[in-house]
Amino acid sequence: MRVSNALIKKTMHEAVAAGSGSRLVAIGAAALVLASAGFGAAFGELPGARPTQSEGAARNVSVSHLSNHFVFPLLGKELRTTAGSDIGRIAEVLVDGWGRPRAVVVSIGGFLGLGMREVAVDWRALRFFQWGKQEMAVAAIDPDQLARAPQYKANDKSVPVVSPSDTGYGP
Amino acid sequence: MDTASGAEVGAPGRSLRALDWLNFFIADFQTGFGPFIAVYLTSVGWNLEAIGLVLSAGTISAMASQVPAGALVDAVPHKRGIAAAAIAAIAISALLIAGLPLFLPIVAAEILHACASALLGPAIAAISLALVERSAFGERLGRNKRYSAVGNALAAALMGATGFYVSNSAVFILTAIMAVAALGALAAIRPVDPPPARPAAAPPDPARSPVRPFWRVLRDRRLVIFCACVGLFQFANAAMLPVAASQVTERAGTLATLLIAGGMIGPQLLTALLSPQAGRAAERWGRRPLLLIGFGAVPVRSLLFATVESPHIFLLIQLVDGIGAAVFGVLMPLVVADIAAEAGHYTLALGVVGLAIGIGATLSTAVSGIVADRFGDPAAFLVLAAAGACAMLLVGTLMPETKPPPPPRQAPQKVPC
Repeated sequence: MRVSNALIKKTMHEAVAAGSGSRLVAIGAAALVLASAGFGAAFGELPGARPTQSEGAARNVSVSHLSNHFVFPLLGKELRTTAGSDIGRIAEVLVDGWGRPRAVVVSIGGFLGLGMREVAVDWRALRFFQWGKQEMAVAAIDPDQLARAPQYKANDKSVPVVSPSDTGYGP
Repeated sequence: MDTASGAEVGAPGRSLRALDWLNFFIADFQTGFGPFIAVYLTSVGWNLEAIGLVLSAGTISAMASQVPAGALVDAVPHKRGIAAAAIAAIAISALLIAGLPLFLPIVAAEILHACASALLGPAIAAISLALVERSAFGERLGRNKRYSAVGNALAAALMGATGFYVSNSAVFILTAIMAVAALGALAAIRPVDPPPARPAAAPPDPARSPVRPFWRVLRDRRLVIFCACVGLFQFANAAMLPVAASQVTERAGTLATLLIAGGMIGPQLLTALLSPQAGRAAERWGRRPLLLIGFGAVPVRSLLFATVESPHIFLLIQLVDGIGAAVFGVLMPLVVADIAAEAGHYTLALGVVGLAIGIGATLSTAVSGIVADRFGDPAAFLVLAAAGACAMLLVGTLMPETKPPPPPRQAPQKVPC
């Protein structure tokens, strides 16, 4: 799973920057803004592999190359069921203190944004594929079940996470 | 379109029809803003925190700009110019959103849109008032609301389809196109814009009486009471559809999108049917009976949401919103025009009422969110219902009738001073 490697690298990088505790940390553009104060540029692009070259003191930096075929930014990506129907869009990645991704927050449902809900999906329910030139995020989750899940709230102490239904994928 | 020149003899039918279409297109392009921005920003990779930040910037600037915008429209004699500038600004902000989904451009677009919208409402009301006789203003507002409701319904369907089949950013391109169409409609209005067209002895016209000090209208007791009424109304009303729609998503699963679309479009169609009647009835029977009906619809709807579980009944309950929206959309600008009839500064008073609406709506979302978190959605609906009942009570007890006494019909119209 090269993808998770890329994400783990990225998320560890940021979890450290944001002061990692043992609780889940929501990473994303806003954290980047606070950390780097480089406003506009922080949005729009999501670096898959940041630690490449930096000029100046870059002598001792070890550069590793992630395979350029299949790494992709996750935020904003459409999440689909294993049958290929839409679930929603990935709006956050939640990581723990070790930098391990634990869940994604998905915006589901609604019409023109009205009635949209955010729910967290267990990371272990996710798989990533490449379909032609299109990367796909797929979850072994029943969308109707997901809709009934408690809403994700950024400030809550514990995050209700929908786990994979028993349809083949083990953890 | 057939009744354009009935009671409305103040301006040629062509201008009045152009005003119809202006209202239609304004409602069209305003549909893309609102909660859809969150969908769009999520799809371009924004996280929830950043989206929340941007939406709050929009809410705050909308509230902060209401009164200054009303004052500006009040002070500038050329209302069509203001309306044109505001529509152009909204088109620009739509293009910014579609083309540059980065933090600063989006914040700028949200603020620009909020301020422009705050100008647009009062400007349209002032333009409408300038086009018709004072006694036909209620009917005119009814037509305005009819066309904006139809515009809302069509735009919701069109933009929903565009977002689904084309792309999310195409929705904002469509928004900009609608804004250009609105500019075309605006340009077709040839009003009695420079004031001298009317005899000075005509009944006091709230749109233009600049000699009176502005604080007189602000100290009008009726305006204060009305602000409290509409503030409470919005407190009861604003969060109801979002909470109910989120409940539908929860309960109806994959069918929810269609149900919510129906719950958004259905009441607009009812509003389109009812609002001209509301305008006419307000001119005939007075404002208070209409206000009581419209305000009464809110707690009824809220209680129904609190008790009925089925997501399919949601569609029916939402229809009740059509009554409230028709009455509110027509009566709000009408009552303010009544209040400002003597002291003038109509659009300034509209701005003050707009601020009350903004505060009510913001508190509605915040309070219902907290209550729903702690005690569940039914409790939130009960709180909203209680607030709606208070608003209705306030209209029933403190709010006086504002309909002006019928003037001697024939005499003052044609007699020059």
